[in-house]
Amino acid sequence: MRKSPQTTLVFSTLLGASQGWSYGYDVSRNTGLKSGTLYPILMRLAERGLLETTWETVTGASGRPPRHLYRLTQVGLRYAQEQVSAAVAEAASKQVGLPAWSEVTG
Amino acid sequence: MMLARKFAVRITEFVVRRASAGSREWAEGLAREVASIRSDWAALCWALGSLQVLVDRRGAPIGSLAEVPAAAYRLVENLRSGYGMWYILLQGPVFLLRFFWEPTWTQRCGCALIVVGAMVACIRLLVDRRRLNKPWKDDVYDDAMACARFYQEELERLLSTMWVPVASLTCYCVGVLEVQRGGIRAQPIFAAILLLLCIATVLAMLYARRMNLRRLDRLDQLLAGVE
Repeated sequence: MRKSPQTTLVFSTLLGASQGWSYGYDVSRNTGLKSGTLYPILMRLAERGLLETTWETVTGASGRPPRHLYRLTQVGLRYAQEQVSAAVAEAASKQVGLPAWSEVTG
Repeated sequence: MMLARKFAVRITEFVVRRASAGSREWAEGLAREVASIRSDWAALCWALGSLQVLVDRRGAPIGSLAEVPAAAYRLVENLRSGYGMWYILLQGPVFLLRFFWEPTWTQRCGCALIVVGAMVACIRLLVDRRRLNKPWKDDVYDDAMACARFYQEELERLLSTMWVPVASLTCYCVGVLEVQRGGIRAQPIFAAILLLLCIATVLAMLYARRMNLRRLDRLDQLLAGVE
């Protein structure tokens, strides 16, 4: 599984909604990823058994057709937590290496 | 309904129609989001993104191990046919003769480059045909697991030797430009067309590489699921 920053973003968004299902457009807005980037990631996650999908059962307002929903599986949840924690730790370690602002400005 | 939204709906309908069996559900999911996007322009951007998904997913539809023999057969037939390398190969002898007739060294260098490109293409074609024309290769399609491993090896080999057709094509194109009387400046339109064709071919190669990487990824999953 490729660990791209975009995949980590998707994981963190889906983790935020770990209790429920998410719409593709909402994930796109929260991550800032375009549909052409987001959907291949979602498809890869589903192929790996990390993401489950379903169709909305209730038709939306004004006769809108049921939408596709996405949620992390139990395995996906664990994997996502590991990935996001690793990304956070990596970002923190990079920040530790930076000099303080007061040192830079003197 | 604004024109942008109408266009977005048309695009997503097209994507659903053209999606492979394995990704139709996803295309449908993408299409239905359009109705929930308030801004027409955002809907259009969303729909254009779905085209990217279509292009990305159409080339690598290996759903199960049962589909592997057909995919492997297609790859082997393409390798045996040599794609478009015959075209370069057949020009080799012509430019070998022209090498001795051309008046300037620039043109001779052009001929030499085309001959080198043709030789590289020739070696690649001979190696592929020798390897793939062995009679036992035809039995490989009967056993899905053996076929999957064979397909995996061929894809890996194809990816690791991708520089060969790129080198052949580069030699050929640079050679054709050099061999023109008066150089590139004398025939700028021809040079531009050749350059565009070259860019298109390289883009097609990069796309094929991406698809092959995805096929390998999928094969890994399928084989891991069986073992």
